[in-house]
Amino acid sequence: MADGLLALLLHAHLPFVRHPEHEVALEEDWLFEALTETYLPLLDIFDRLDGEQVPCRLTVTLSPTLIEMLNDPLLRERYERSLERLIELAEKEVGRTGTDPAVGPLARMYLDRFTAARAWWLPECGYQPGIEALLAGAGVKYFFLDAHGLLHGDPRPRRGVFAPAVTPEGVAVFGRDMESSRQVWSAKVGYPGDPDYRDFYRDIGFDLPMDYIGPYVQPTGHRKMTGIKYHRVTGGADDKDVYDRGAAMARVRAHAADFLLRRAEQTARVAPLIDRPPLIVSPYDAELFGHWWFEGPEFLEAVIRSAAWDGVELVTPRDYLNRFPDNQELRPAASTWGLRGYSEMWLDESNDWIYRHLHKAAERMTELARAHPRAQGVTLRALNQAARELMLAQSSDWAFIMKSGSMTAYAQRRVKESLLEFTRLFEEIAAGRIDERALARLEARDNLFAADVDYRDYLP
Amino acid sequence: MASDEYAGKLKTELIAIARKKKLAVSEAMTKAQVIQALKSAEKSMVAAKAPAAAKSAVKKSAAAKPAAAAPVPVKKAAQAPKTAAKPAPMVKKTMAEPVMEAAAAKPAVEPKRPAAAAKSAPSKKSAPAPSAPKAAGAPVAKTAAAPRAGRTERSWDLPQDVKKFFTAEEEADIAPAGDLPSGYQETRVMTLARDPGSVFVYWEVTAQNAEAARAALARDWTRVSWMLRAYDVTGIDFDGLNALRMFDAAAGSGYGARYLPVEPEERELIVAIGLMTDSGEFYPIAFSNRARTFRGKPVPESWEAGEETFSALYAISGGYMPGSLMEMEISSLGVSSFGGASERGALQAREFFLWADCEITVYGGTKPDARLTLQGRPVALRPDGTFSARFALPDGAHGYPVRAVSADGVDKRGIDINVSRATSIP
Repeated sequence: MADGLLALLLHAHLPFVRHPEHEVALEEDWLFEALTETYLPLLDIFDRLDGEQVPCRLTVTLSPTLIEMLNDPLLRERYERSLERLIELAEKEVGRTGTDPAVGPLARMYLDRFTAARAWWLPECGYQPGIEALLAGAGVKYFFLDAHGLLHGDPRPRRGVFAPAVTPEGVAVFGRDMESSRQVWSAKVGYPGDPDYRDFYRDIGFDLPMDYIGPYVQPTGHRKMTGIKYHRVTGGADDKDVYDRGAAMARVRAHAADFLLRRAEQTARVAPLIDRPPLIVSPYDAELFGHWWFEGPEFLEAVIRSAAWDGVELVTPRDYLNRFPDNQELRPAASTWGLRGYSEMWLDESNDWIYRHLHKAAERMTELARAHPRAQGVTLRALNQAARELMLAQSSDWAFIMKSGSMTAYAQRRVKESLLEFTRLFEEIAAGRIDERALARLEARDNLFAADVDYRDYLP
Repeated sequence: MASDEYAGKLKTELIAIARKKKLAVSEAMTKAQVIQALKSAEKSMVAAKAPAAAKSAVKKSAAAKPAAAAPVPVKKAAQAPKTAAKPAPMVKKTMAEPVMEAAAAKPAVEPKRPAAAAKSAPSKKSAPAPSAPKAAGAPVAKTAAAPRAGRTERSWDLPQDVKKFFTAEEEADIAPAGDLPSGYQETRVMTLARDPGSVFVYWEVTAQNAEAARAALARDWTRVSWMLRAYDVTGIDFDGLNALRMFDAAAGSGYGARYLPVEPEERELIVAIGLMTDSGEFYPIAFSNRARTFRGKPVPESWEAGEETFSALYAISGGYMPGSLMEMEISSLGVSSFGGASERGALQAREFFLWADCEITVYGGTKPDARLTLQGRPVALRPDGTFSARFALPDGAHGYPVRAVSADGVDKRGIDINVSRATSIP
């Protein structure tokens, strides 16, 4: 126990300054400056302390007016714009002062601060050379690929997947570690299949009589899972034993210890081969933990709690890049993290019929944007809704479900519906006769990215 | 509830069910006695209201299935074609029938959930099934079960790749949306890379364009056929004639889609849809986008990393692990140069497995300006006159006749290569 106790308090407050009536209000800069110079840097530092497991106890209070402003769409939008201008200026400054040994590094410092590392999760880790230019343009600093995306990169990655690489555009790329993936993912050797863990499939929604469970399953009288499940995985047999929470928690601790031990072993194997501490990148679908693997969250907790004791330091990719900013330059290989690593999950006899229509719709969207570069009113709404329908139809999830073989009718319907709605909007916009009531219904239902869609993004 | 379901329940659960039905049961009874009580109660109910019960029985048994079907292996075995245990999964997929092997990048299994059975009835009914790969017995995708046949599976069997909130367990009746047009009355051909061994091509040609092409060829329809021609245009500003290599594949009609086998190399492909005359003259009607195929393996060695270091890193990174996507790389990289035997041995010891397959590469050379055909199809020669072509090699006998004609048409040479393959499990 220390001799003295210290309570740090930070009180954050700004008066309510919001001027929709003016295009530019200098006083709104108070908020923008506080965001750029105080709130965001503080959040970064808390993140870092958290990442390094430094006990960080400190109190921050936010005044109601400040909270209101932080939540305000207009101010948020204006802040984004002001930050973009600032980044633009900082970039110019880096160019202007590039050769100046004193000021040049400072200009770069500001640019780095304003463009703090931002990550992007590529859907399905789908990568094709060329994407990184778009990512770089959007300010993305790093993204993730499956192992072979990096291992098959050009030139060969001299640290394998155990360090990120950087593309010629300056975007860092991390590769998935297969071994730690398998330990958690694999149905054969993965932890979640342990006999002591809760069984996912046995659910009282199927087990109990309908006269009891009826109100809690589907109104149609079809059964469904309720989330209450009393059995453990047991053996391979049909006959399941009752779940024993204590036994499961014991397995969680054992599995967490095993997971960390394997990481330490892996580190020991890799360390002699590369010139810096190996980084093991372990991405998983979040829904694995808890939904499928009931004890998953507790497993994560146990891993996090014991990591430091077991010689494994938890880091974020950003921590790593701060520590090792110089990484090998290479061009990753086109890849995904789907079945066998390429596109066959999404391009298969079960789902390949969609591309003919998706390509046509994408082409039409561009056509629409070109024909209406400055749309207003209902045409603007229709164009934005067309963009929403197109994106919904393009979701890789639908193709995935068609291939995976369950719920395929739903996935087919989603793609078709969105394409049909898109086509209807396309025809209405082209004819200048937009059914406003139908549009309003569609906006209410398919309200994806409600405020953020801008059809002008489809202008070539 | 189907009475056979009772057996799978704990006595305490059965007692609870029985009490709900106001049956006289007690903890002192054996499980069998409780089941007996439930069954006789059920029988008397059925007798009392036979028509209603019979009606609801259909629904109930469908709904009850998932719980009873919990043992995943049983369900899988039932779905898998009888031949699943045979070498099917080891035979290289042919493009017409892509075989889905058990391997997964996120290692694991086909999504299969008992619940799927429950909902399959409504969904099947309404699913328009644009292409019917799921048809029972079709040689598609089902081999996934094979490597695991006979194993006791854990029932966890996460749908693996399936991130799941959306394969919800139950599916309400899905009304089909309206229908999409089959085409758009325009001529278009598109090429999409699928995996290191194949690309997908779809096409549509308008009647006018088709007729114009036929007229240009000055043949009637009985003497032309629809053909795809794939051009390797890697690094080339393609003008229609300067492809590095090309190959043809039947298109069948002016509207369609198919997969084409390609070499597992990073190449740029353009595919044309067109008409070919009975004398082999090809008239391209439309060219596709330029598709880049997947590299599928490490780039050739360079100074960047020593071969040994990279091999070791590659192995530790999962390059040789069964179930990882990179398993296929063992052969193409060459065993000797890539990872010592002991290294792989150690990895494999953890989980024994075997797969084997073979392909065939036909190669050779002639005068650079000669015309060469392989299996009757023209093959572009490299600048030094050499050529090579790679084929999947399914079981059976296959002929690869090679013919070369000198540029002036005077000299002719031929070589017939005949190969047969028979795969069996000892």
